[in-house]
Amino acid sequence: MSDLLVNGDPHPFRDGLTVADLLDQKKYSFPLKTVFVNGARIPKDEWPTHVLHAGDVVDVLHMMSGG
Amino acid sequence: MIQVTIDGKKTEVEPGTTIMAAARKLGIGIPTLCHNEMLEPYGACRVCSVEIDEGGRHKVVTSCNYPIQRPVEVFSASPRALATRRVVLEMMLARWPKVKLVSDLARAAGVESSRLTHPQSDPNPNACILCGRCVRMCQDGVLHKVLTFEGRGPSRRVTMAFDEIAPDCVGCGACAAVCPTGAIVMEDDPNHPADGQRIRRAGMVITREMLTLDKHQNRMREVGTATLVKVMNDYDLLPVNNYKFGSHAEANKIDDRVLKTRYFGQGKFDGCYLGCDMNCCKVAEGFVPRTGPKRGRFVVVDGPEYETAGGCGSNMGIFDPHWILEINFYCDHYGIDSISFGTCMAFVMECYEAGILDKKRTGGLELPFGAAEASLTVLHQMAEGNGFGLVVGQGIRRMKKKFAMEYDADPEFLRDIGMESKGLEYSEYVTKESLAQQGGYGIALKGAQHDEAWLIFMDMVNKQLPTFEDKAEALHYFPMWRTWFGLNGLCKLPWNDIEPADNAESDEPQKVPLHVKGYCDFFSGMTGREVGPDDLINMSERVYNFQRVFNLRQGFGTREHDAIPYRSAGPVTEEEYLSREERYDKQLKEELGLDPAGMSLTEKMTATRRYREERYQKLLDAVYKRRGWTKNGVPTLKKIQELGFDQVEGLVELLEQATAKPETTKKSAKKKAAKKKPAKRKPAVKKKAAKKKPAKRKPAVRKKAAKKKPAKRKTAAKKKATKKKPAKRKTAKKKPSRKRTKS
Repeated sequence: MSDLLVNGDPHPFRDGLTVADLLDQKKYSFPLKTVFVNGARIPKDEWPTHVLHAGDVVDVLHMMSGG
Repeated sequence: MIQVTIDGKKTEVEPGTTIMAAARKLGIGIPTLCHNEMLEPYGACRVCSVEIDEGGRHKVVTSCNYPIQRPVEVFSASPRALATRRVVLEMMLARWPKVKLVSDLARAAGVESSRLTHPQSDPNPNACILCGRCVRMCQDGVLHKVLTFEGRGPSRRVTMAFDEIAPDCVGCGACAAVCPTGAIVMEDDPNHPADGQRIRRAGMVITREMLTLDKHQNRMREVGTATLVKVMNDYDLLPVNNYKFGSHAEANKIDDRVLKTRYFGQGKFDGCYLGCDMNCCKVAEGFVPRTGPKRGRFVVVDGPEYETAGGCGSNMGIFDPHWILEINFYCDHYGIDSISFGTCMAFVMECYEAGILDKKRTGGLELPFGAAEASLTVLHQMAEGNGFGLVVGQGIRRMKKKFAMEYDADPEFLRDIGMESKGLEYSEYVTKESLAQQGGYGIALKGAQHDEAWLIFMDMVNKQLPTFEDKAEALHYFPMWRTWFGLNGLCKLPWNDIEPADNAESDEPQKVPLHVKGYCDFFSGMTGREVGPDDLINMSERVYNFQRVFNLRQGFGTREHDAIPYRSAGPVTEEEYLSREERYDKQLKEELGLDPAGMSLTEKMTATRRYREERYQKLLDAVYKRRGWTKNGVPTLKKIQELGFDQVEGLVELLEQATAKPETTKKSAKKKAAKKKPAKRKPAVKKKAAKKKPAKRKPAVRKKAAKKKPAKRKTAAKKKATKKKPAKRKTAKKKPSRKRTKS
């Protein structure tokens, strides 16, 4: 079973993994971020229910350029 | 989630969502007058009344402030709801017959005229209709509390204290912006802008976002930048023990949740200036210091914000919030920068643990990581100008020289761990894994500060800057953009610490295009000169390059001054390497094609260092090229001419000298480099291995060595001479021997 590719790095995949689970595992706690799965933007309210698939390419863009 | 049905349409909402918000989600408009999405629901006008069926019980409620707690069916235009709305509007129409908003709402509800009369009927078309938006904006929005209601019933009105114009009303205009009738208008702009309304419109975009989105984004109004303690810890970016590490198990003891619960006041104005609705400077009232001139007295602490929590907390190995607040308080009290203090003390603590400093040299203070009370003693001494505080107060650059000269500390080790550039101490981010941010610190004109560029997420997390050219472009755009705020006396935080809800969908979300447009409106509204985003960058580029030339004149504006301590780029010590061994080994394998399994730790550290130092030099090349500078980091004459300030007296000669110098020195430098550079790198680590490793593992041994060498040498040498001179020779001999091993 192939891994996920998260921001260019492999990440272990497991069945039923949602976007919210993934963000939690990666400790991506910064609130201003946008998630793309295979190039499609996933709205924030769908993160808890959007289930990932093996081999998915996930890009998590953190919208912070500093204070 | 709770199911809601409004006029037959169904949706699900979070518990606590108001009926008004649920209706808007469904695209159903409910008329309202006193409600504004920026303000807390108030329910004063009752125009938004609707009928609900909640568990079989029918009643009329105000939709703006009725929270949905269980399944409910809403009828926004039922006969009962409409009847209530009509009566309310008839009463308003009787009192304010000429106010357009009232008559429009009444007409929409089927009321053409009022059957009622009002003893205080006001024919003013811009009359105040007592909706309370202005009062709530002043009190809850900008937290200023200048406007208030006075009186009850028909005599109720909006006023200021004692019915006088409050001297502390700064004219921020937020009240006028939410006034629905024009009863409050801004008549005079003291700065005489070309188009005041345009500026206010641009400002209200930010205000709206602050009051509606901030609570879901960075919570700046609630906890300020302290929110970043947890975030940086999660991303391995929180400086711990002089930037050795990026996270710590006890970081949760000093993060925003603790600070908010125990210290920060809420709902009070404590921003930088009155009228700011970001209001991110949090204040702790009733704090009682345990040391110093204010010991045992109640004081107010302005902060801590992130930099102080990181610098005077985790970076010094302190995880008790009380001490962070106390250091914060005394830094403010004495006028000492808490970032420089924190970074200086972190350096001192590492020197203490490495045996370079001891109690004798610190005036009896024990200063390992975590020594909070002793650090406060140093802070008080610094302010009083005595004791060890006099040493620390000179900053890291001078401490490095002193420790090397007087305590025989290894200058290379001090250079590696002394987190300063151009003499300014680093602010509080670990940059080891973000090459772009290493440049952000190193190239910054004022020294190691992140306010020119904060690129860690773009570079390290998002991986949006894969090439040197990408990083160079970011290190051109962001410093120029951020310089523009300084030119205009504006705070940078509203630019990207709050973002439009749809920012992610814009072409360049990192730049926050809607806000950039707002700043263009601000500039155009102020000056009457139409500008676009590129114009703002051009303004900054002129100033930025002028500043670089100024640095040059003052002896700082060349490549050598853009150098960074190695700890900013990679692991200096074994424990640092081992703490992220997997990451570093992976880099050796994937980016350098080496097999870490077959390498000793020293070899891996040497290879890592060489690779990272070379990358930094390549980055400088790319940035200088992008900025139109020479390889020595000097703006070219051509660039200066493009920017139009080549006529400044003496400037051309200055540039020519700076450009000529490195060429002449380069030849000799190249010769030396052939021998020294590679030699320096390999043995630099070997040397450390020889000197530092044992020192770290057995500090006592190192202490003795440090003590033995120069301190005694100098003082004792004059009296007892003979024994220490050989010691000098030893160190002198080591150097050539190092060269030999290298070459």
